[in-house]
Amino acid sequence: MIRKTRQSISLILKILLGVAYVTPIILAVLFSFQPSEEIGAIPLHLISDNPTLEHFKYVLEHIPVLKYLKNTFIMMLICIPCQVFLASLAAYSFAFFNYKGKEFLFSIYLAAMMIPGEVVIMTNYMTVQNLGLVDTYLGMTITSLVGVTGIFMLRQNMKSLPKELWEAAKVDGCKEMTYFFKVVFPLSTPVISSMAINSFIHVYNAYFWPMLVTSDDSMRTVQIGMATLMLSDSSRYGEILAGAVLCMIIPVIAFLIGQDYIIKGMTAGAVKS
Amino acid sequence: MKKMKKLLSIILAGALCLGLCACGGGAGDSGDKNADGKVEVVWWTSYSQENMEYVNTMVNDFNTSQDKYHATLVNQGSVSEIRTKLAGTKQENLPSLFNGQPITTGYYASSSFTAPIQDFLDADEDKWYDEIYDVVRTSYSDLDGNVIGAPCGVSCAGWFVNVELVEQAGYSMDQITNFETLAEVATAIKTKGLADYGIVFGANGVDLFDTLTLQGVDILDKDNGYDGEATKCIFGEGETAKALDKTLKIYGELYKKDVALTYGSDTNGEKVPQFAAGNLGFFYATNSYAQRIILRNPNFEFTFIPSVPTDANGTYVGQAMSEGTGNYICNTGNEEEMQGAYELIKFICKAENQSYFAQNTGYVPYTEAGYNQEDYQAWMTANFPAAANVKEMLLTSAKDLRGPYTSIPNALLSACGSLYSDIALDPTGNYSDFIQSAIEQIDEAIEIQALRKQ
Repeated sequence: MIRKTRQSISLILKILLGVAYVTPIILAVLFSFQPSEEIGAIPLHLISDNPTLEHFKYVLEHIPVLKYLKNTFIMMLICIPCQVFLASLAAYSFAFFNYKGKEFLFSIYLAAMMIPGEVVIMTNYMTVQNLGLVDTYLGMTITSLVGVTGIFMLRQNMKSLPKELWEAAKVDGCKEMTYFFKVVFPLSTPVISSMAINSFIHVYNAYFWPMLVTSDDSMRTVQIGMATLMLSDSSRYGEILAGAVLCMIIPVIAFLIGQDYIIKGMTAGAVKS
Repeated sequence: MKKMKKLLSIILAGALCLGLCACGGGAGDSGDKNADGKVEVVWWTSYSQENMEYVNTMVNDFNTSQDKYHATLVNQGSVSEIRTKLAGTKQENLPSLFNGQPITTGYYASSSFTAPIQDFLDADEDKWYDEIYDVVRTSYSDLDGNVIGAPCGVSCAGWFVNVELVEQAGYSMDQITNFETLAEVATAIKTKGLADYGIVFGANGVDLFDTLTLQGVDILDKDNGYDGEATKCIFGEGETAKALDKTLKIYGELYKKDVALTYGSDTNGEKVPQFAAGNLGFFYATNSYAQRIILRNPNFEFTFIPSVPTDANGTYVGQAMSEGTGNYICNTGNEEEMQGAYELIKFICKAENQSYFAQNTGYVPYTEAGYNQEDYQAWMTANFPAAANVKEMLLTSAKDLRGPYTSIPNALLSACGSLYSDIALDPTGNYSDFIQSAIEQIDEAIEIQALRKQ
């Protein structure tokens, strides 16, 4: 009886929490279809009597969404493979090799995780300018090519792989890199997928850094484009919401496809076998 | 064969990545000559998409009006994001001009990336800048009177008032000349059940900042920064302490009696709709918000009055500081480009452009010629008759009326905002602690700024 009550309370709390998270998104979607005069009218009403696509039309007419999306996707095309490749190599080294200063090096990596990005953003910007990388894709992505969180997650996962696997592979004449690519990498797929999806969301949502290192409109990303709808002098709420809804579509699809991997990736390595 | 394929695909992927990385930066940089032989003038702006359209119209007109320069607008986020970016941008990457607010003129005047407009004005035989209202010119000038920037749209902070509610509460508009009376009227509106809320304040502390300035008291030492770089906040000293104490007590009472709309409410999403629905007596904002009230409820009748000093002893009753949005030339080192930026600024300040921009954004023109444009007069009569009050404020305001001259305007506003926020959250709390915390915030910002200069 007590157990059932606990479960019910837990379920109710989870539902409430879920509703709290989802409500703003549902409101944004509903309001984005309302005519301007209805949005924010007092009293508020959720379902419009005269739903309209006018806000979406305005956004698509005034913001070159496809051009900005192209830039965002190019950023992702550079960042995600680089992050996955470099993080998995680094994690492999931390998990399988023994060398002097390994723990110290790893603690430096961990310390880097504690430094908020905002602290180093201006010095990074200066460096990118000195390298002549302003308004280039490399400039836009250079700070996201390596992710310490990914290295940490992969290392934890690789450490949980049984040592017998390596012994067996060695007996079969497997070399170090073959073992990495043919055994470790496939076995780390859940973590790598989770990392790739997180990286996707991180790069897709990036705003300030791409804006800092680009001044040419042809290099702008979708988040910067959508942000122009909601600067302080803006009053077009319908358009802001329509822009937000359009922006949400791609990460939501990515999340729906990869949600299993995200959860697996988060928990992988959490329990030692 | 299989290995070969793998190798080839890796090489191809690598080449693709390298190719992509090297891409970009194709468009002409500021100062360069484009294919038509025109000097590229790049303007970093903070306007939203809707206002960008109006600005873009003026830029296109500029481009067709002459054949020496070609101007391009580039959105760089908010004003503060532009400022952050400029501070870290190397001279060769600077734009030709940028968007800023007059409250930050002190900062721009001391920065290395700004080239004062004064140098260009001195070399220009056309004395167009002299036509701009005195108080507006002052807001774009440094301590020595050198012009640093130029306006694009001008606004004044003040109170939007629902006149009907004021009259129903038993008061007349003439009585509202100080914060004491204003709070009394707002309280009456609420307690008589005429509206859900009597009043709503700004979210960034600007109203406290304005109230003290109009009262005639300083916020910083060294004569509010006009007698050299300020070294401390004087919230706890002399007349400033008395004015602050009184202002905060009046303010706190409004929250104790639940007269005010929640502090920090969103302006476009909450304050404007509440006001336009007749549910709010007083709404503090700049006059440019008139446009949004009109859009929300075209038939709603309201007026706009200047911000008020704390009590009847206020120095600047009926006056207002000039605010709004303006432009500053960047010190790019390229004289042709900087001249192009100046020509663009001058073009934007033309009477017909002032009128065009004001009609579409809710700002007001800042010269007599701009104000008297036929189309502006027609728009004003039909939509925002209270714009006449704003012009009156600008004309009657003392030339020297301006807030503290400081390179830390945002820290000042933030501290004033925290003070208002603390009291709104805990109106029965210990105000001395709140004030002390604001003093510490400002003093710390002054110290950091001093260290930076060293």
